[in-house]
Order: sequence, then C-alpha cells, then structure tokens
Amino acid sequence: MDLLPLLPQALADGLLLGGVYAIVAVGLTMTFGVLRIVNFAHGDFLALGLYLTYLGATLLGLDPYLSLVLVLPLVTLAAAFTYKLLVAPVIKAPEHNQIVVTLGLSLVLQNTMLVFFTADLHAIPSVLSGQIVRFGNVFIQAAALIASAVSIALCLGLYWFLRSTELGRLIRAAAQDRDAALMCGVNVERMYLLAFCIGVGSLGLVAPLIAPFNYISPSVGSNFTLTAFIVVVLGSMGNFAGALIGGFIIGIVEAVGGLVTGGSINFIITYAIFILFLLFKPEGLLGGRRL
Amino acid sequence: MRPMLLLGVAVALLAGVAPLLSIYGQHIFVLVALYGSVALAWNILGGMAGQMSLGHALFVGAGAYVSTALYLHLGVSPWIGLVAAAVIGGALGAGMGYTVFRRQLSGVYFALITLAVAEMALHIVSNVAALGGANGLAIPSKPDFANFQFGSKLGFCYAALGVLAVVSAVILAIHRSRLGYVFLAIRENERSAAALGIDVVQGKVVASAISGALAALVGPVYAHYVLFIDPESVLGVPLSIDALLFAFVGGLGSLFGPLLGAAVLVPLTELLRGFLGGRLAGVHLIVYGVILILVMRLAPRGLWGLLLDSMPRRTK
Repeated sequence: MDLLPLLPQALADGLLLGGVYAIVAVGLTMTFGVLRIVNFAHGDFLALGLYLTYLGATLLGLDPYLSLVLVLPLVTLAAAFTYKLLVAPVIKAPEHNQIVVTLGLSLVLQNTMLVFFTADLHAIPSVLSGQIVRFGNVFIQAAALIASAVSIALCLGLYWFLRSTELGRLIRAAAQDRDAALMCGVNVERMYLLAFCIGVGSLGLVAPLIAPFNYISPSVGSNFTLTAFIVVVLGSMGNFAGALIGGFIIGIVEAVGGLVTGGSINFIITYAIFILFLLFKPEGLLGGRRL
Repeated sequence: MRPMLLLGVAVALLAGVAPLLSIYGQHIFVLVALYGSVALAWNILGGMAGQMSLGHALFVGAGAYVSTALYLHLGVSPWIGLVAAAVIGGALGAGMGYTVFRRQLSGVYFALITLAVAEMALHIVSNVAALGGANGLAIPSKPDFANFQFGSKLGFCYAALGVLAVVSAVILAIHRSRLGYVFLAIRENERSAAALGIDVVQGKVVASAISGALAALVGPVYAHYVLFIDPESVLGVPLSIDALLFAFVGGLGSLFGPLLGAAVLVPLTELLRGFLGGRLAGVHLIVYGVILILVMRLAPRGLWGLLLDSMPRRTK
C-alpha cells in the first residue's frame, strides 16, 4: 500500500497529539524544575481528571466542556492535598524515598480507579464528538483541535507567567536556590505548593478537553506518565520550550510510526529514542535546567 | 564461615517444614521464595550498591523466555536453561550497567533507563512470533525431573528454595568480601569511594551483573511452575515494582530485609485475593501503595529495621 498520501494526515494527528503531550510534560517538568521531585504519579492525576469528567457526564449529565468547572478545581485540590500529605514531608529526603513515595501514590490512585470503575474502557460523548474539520485531504476532529490549541496556549501562558509576573519570579527564585530565596524572604514552602498545584492542576484542565476523543481506563495514567518522561528528557528537564518541542516530536513519531509499522512496534521506536537520548544526550535537546 | 553455616541450617529447616504444609501453604511457600529471590537480587544493586532499578522484570523475563524457548524449540533441558538464564541475565545486567554507568548517569536517570529497557523488551517480545508474541508461550505438562516439572508442589518448593539458597549464599559471600565494601562505599559516597582508588563504574557494573544473573534464575523456575509465560507477567512493570516494593518494605540495604518483605506481603496478597475472590481486582495494589508510603514515612529502614530496633541492644 502506498502510504505517502496518508502522511499529511499522520503529521496532523501527530501535531495535535504533541500539543497534549506537551502540556502534560510541562506539568511534570514544572514539579521537577521547582521541587526537584520526579512525580511518578503525574499521569494518574490526568486519569483522575478523566474519571471525574466521566462522573460528571454519567451522574450530572454534564458535557465534558461544562464539567471543566468541576474537574479543574477538584484536581487542583487533590494536588494540594498530595503536596501537603506526601510530597512536602519528603522534599529533603534522599531521591530514592521521593521516587518510592510517588510510585506508591501511583499504585494507590491507579488501583482505586480500577476498583471503582473496573478495567472497562469508557467513552465520554460530547456535543463536539464526531465533528470533523477538513483541511484539503486532512481530516481533524474538532475536539482534538481544541484540546491541542488550548494545551499549547496553556504551555505558552505558563511560560509567560513564570517569566513575567512577580509570582513567577518568586517561584523561579525558589527553584534556583532554595536557601538564597529563603533569605530574601521568599516563602519557599508556598512556592513549592503553588508550583505543584499548577503542574498537576493543569492536568485537570486538559482531562475534560481530551475526554471527548479518548477512551479512558485506569491504566491511561501510566501511559501518559511514561510519555511525559520521554518528552521531558527529550526537551531537557525543567525546560518549557523543550517540553513543547519534545511533545511535538514524540507525537509525530507515534502517529507516523503507527502509520508505517502498525501495532506496538511503534512503542519500541519511542523507547529507543528515549534510551538513546538518556545515554548520549541526557541533558536533552535544549540543555540546562533553566526555568 | 559461620553465616554460611547458619544459612545451611535455615535452608534445611525450611526444607523440613515444606512437606508439612498444606498444598495451599506450599503454593505460598513457592511464591515467597521466588519473589523473595527477585527482591534479594534487586537489593544487591538497589540496596547494597545504591542504584535503584525500575526494570528488574527484564532479567526475570529474559531468564524465563530463554529457558522456555530453548526447551520448546530446541529441546534443551530446563536445567541447562537455568544456567543459560543466569548467563543471559548477567550479560544483560553487565551490558546495561556498562552503558549507563560509564556515562555517569545515576539516580532517576538510571531508574528511567531500566524502566524503558524493560518496557522495550516487553514490546519486542510481544512482536516476535517465535516467542509467542503477546499471547505468550505455554509449556506442555510432562511431569519429569529432567523436564523441571516435579508433578507436585513440594518439588517446586525445593526448586524455589534452591534458588533462594543460591541467591542468599551469593549475598553472604559478597557481604564480607572486598566487593561488599566496594558496594557500600559507592552507595554512601561515590566521590570518596573514587578518591580512595575504587573503580566506581566497575563496581556498579559488577553489582548490576550479579543482580541480573540472580534475578534471571527465578524466571525458569516460575515458567515451569506456572507452565505459561507471557510478556505482561514476566516482563511487565508490575513485577519490577514488586521487586522494589518488597525490598523497600523489608528494609533497603539490609541483607535479608527484602526476603522479609516478600514473606509478609506475598501471603497478605494471597489472603486478600482469597477474601475478595475475583471482585475488586486492584485492592492488593492499593494496600501495597499505602504500605509503601507508610513505610517511607514512619520506618525508612523497613521491617528489618523495626525488627532490629525492637530487639534488646547488645552491650559491648
């Protein structure tokens, strides 16, 4: 079969996917960049958002876009509790312990969702499901277009927030040198809380947006966590622009790889890229830990 | 030699206890010994040498697939498969360790690489028809000592105990040797270790190779016990997490804490499963997660540490 005519479609799909990957990765890179904690439960908060959206649709009959007003605050609240109860106590602990605590949290979150919602796949219909936008030979789901556009806008917005607002400056100060920031009167503890809530809470915004065109299952979170790690390493840990570029690269690799190879050989390519980067360019494409 | 003698006595005792157990008890015995062996093997690299792996399923899976494929396709006895498994596991451990540690990558980077390599292996095996693809490989039931099928649970109790004894003996041998101190020095402070003339990279590679070889030993025994392997069960992330979990809960870096962790958590899992039947699939993993977090918060030295603290102090 000649695959060339399908290439533009795959590229478009990859770009749309990449936008969503980017914002998930930006959240991860934000918690890492500021708190120096690698959160293995990151994607599970996205799954949490998806199931909250699902509950909103089944119990309250809300369209995913409407349930945004519920899901965003709830996920952010969950993030705040997580920070207070689990993350803050280990912030100065050895790296081992931090990884293990977030792994434990991931086990708890993922399997609580499994117990409540079973492993069945769920779809959440929306007014926009099935709406297709056509550009020449390329067909794009309207919902995917919105999700990707909002994700990219959010990435840029967060970047602007960190760069150009007073609060952003304080967060960056806490990230760059905890002790120096403390001495200058920055409430480092609060900046950590804020960074964690923004990094994880942004998933509460993304979840309802990707709900209309994604199946949800309890394991969706760990897939996103792994992908986010790959994106973050590709684009340099702690680097926003890197996460955006990395997201697009992985999105396109997955979409085009899926077109060419089909099946799970696709994953092998993604992991191979990841391993090669870790080995030969662990500082990522853009390098540095600038925030 | 006293520790070795003690180990011999302990193994003899366990071997004596095994026939007295019910069939169900023997099943738990096998599981504890196998999971305990993986956790102990994990601990050589993760606890003794301080390099946390998130992909030890790679070694177990490699061992299981090598011996099973040799047996099914070439008729090679699983007893030889066991040796092949250890060799492959050691080679994988050494190769992975060499590529990673030579580049000064440690901590979370090492954890991510091990995770990615294991996941990649899972997807590769899922796509190789000779290895059964995603459907896995079934081993025809032909009970015979030469086929590593013992026809009774008791036989597998001894096989699993044998693996556990080998792993334990290696740990004891390392512990009081130069190598043990090299691992310790690397774990505590790499720079000081290097300044003292220790080849840090070599030390970590050796730890990785030993850890991989011992974990791989478990694969063939598991495969012939269950008579079926598929990528998800022997190469999946959950197995890697189990190894780390038992080690952390039991006591990271202590010699036999990981075995204690497995001895407490595996029966707990089976009990929960018995209680809940088929319903509520993920409950035992929620319990694992909670225990893991609680141990980290309340007893970072694990159950082994608690045990030591509760014993009366010896006065010097």
